[in-house]
Amino acid sequence: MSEDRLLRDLGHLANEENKAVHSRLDERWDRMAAGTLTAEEEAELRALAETSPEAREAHEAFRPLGPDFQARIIDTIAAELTQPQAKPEPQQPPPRILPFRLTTVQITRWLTAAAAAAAVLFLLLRIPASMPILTAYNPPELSGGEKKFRGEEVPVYRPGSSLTVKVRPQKAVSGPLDVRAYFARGNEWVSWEPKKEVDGSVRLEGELSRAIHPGDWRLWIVVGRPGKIPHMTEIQERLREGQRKKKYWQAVSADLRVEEQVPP
Amino acid sequence: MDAEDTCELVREALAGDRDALARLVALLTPVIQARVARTLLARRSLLGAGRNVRQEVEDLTQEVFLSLFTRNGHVLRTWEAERGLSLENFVGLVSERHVVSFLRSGKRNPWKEDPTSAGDLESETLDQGPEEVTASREQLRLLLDRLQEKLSPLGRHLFDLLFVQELSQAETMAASGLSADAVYAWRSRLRRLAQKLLAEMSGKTAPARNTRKDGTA
Repeated sequence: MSEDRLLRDLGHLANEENKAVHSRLDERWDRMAAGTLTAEEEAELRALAETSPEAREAHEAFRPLGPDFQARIIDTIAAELTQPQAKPEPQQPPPRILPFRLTTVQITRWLTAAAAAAAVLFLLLRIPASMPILTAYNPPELSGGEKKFRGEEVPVYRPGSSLTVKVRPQKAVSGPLDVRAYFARGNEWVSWEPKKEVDGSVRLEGELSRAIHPGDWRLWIVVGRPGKIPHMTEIQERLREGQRKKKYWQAVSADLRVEEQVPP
Repeated sequence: MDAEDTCELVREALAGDRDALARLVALLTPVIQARVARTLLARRSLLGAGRNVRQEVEDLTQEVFLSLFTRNGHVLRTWEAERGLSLENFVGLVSERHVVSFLRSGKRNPWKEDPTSAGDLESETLDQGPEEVTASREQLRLLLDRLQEKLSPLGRHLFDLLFVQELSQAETMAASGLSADAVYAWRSRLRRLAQKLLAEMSGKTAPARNTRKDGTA
């Protein structure tokens, strides 16, 4: 049998088997594992499971493993990733190179190679070091002003009252940082321009703008590498998709309530 | 989630960001579970009759996760989005290979509890020449399993493109992002590996059962 014929036969067999498996276990079973079946489909597969031991076994095999399983996996992997890695074997000293007399051609080649290496080195030196990926930040801590609590954890402020916000990283951060702040209520977003101190941790101090009308608001703090924090509309879009953290920026939030100004 | 976001999620998870790790586990659990279940149920006869499939799926899913992240995530780090293989497909192929290997290797192997099945599979393959081995569909199936077990996810992807989907050279280059030379090299590697496995199956010496899967990785 020719070598390509063997691979072709294997390919045909794999193709046939894929089709056979997919005709027996259609894509609804994959969606069952993902927990995205409709109620109707779920009922269909449950009914199917009653028809034969094979179908019952498939139902058991694809039934979602659940959050407890995932939590266990996360703990196991996190422990694995924090284990010290095996050190590489110490390198043997390079073998001694015997001296030899350079010919003109060899010298020319050597000079050409050296020039090329110098050019590469020059280019490398001109490329800035890669920007460190941003570490994770904890939720903002709000304080100051006329803050009061109404039995719940949501702090209450009034327009014009002072507000101090601290955002701390989960691990030490190096390199330059920038920060933006927005008050958000549904689709209404108001940029906040407080005094900023950024040195790994972030401290913002300012007044609650008069543009923040009474109601429940969410304060978004976006920490990122300079030039890497996207425009407000892109941040809104990302947050709608459930993405709060990217490689070079992260958004954290805290809820607050704004009440009417007390009349003098 | 686009490819760039997925790459970033993987990077963050491997860097120890627990939030990213949780999102990655949530993304991959159903992928791994479904592929493990499919591969296991497609070879149900190789699993002892008394085995609890649900338990096997759970154990194997956990093992696949560990195989991805062990040794500082060296398997997961070999995933390259630009090779035309999504993370889900990549992880699916790793899962499939793990289950095939589990069924053959003897690790929690039901064959040991059911010697007839093991005997059938091994004795048939050790006493025949290459032509006789490939004459049987069941034996070709065994060769296919061994090939899948030995191939890296990228190698398996190339096998799918070239011999399952039977794409042309140009189509394979487009689908994999590889150069003509690289595709040619993969074709040769696949050919050599299939021949080597076939020779092992037709020879008197049984193939090593727990060797590292470095064949064409």
